[in-house]
Amino acid sequence: MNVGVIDYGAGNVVNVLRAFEAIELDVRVVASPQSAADVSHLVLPGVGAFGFGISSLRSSGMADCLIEYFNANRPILGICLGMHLMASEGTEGGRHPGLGLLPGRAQHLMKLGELGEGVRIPNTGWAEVQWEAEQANGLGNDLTHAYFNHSYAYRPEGEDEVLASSRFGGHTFAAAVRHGSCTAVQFHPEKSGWDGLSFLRGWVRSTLN
Amino acid sequence: MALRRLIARMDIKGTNVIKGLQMEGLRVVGPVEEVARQYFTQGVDELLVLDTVASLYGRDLLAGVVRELTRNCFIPVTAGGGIRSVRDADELFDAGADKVAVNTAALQTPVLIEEISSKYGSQALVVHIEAKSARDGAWHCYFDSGREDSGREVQSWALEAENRGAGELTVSNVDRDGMRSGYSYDLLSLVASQVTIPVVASSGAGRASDLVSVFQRTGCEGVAVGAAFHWGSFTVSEARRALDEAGIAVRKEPVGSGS
Repeated sequence: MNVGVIDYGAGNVVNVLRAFEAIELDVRVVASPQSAADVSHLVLPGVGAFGFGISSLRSSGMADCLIEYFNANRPILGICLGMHLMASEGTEGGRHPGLGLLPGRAQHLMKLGELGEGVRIPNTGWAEVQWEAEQANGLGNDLTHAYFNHSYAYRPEGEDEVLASSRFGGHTFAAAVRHGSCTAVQFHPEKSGWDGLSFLRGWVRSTLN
Repeated sequence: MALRRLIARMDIKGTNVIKGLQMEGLRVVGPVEEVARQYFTQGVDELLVLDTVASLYGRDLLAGVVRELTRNCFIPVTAGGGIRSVRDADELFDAGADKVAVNTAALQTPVLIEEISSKYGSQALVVHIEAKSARDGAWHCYFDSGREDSGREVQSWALEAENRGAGELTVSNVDRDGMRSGYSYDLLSLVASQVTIPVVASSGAGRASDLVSVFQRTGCEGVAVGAAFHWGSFTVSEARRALDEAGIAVRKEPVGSGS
């Protein structure tokens, strides 16, 4: 098996690459459908603007590539912006259709509700991740806390399985979800220390059953 | 909610971590990779790497340093020092930085804030404020590693930075930097009360209890500790313990770390 980390100009590629190297998996950067052809696991990282990200994925052909992977039930992991891009819709700077791999939408943290006094956005720092034991099936065993850095969060639509949640401003938001062969996380496993690396190993292992 | 952030600050010159007093004079702490690795192993939440002489040597060194230290440190790294353009920021993100910090160039050409944040998101851009108290009791924003007075007052600059798209402010205090004699809580409260983005306090930690005071007395969400860690005033463990005992929500010491 091997991992392809998608580079679509939205950054964050290097750290994710290094993280997979550190857990000794065969990993490389993928920027086009041709280079993704013989990759068994795809990872969509990313930071920055939704609009830029989705148009970059479309123009490089990687959007179609990801959709094909998903339809063929091949494993995909979305991280942070990657998670949002997988949604049916993003709402940053207007409404943009996403890849539609996850049924929900990406919304600003302010949409969670009344946030309480002194709450600051972006949500930056380490926070507790609460795993749904049954759904997660061991995926979150080591990762009780992870690093978050975001102003938008994914809101599930009901068909997706919420594997884990975290809290912000007195509200709960989705920290990890799964839909079909697509798993997506709001936190950055590649920046969450050794436990984050364990999570990545666990994700790969969970897809091999 | 995110826990309070314990950040190890590393001022660098070339490939060494250095530290001055009030941003003057430089004592070598050790090679960047080694120092960074130690802090990562000791369980800090994040690393802040500031190139103090970028204007003299150019920033290429900083990208190289970031590239090397992110090989083995799987925690967020903020890199700053001499960033003058989006391309400079590109280089640092490509090298593995999670965030970039700007000061001098942002004060001179504030639209740089919009340029970087619109490409990478606000959460990737820190505006670093080097504050120094002025004669009239106001706090001014300094640049060029604390040497030049921009004439801007910190409150208005903080607000402008947020409005232009900064996702975070880090506040250093030129007079207290490296002195390990405590923070200026007035300055930190002043800045934190102006903005709705996270603020990180820097310059002044001398005892672990200083960190407790920052979180109890100001709206800061993080502390960047330099001299106190470098010269062993207290360890990362001791910092965590002090914060925890004071009821401040911080990450528990990660398994496998030790001081």
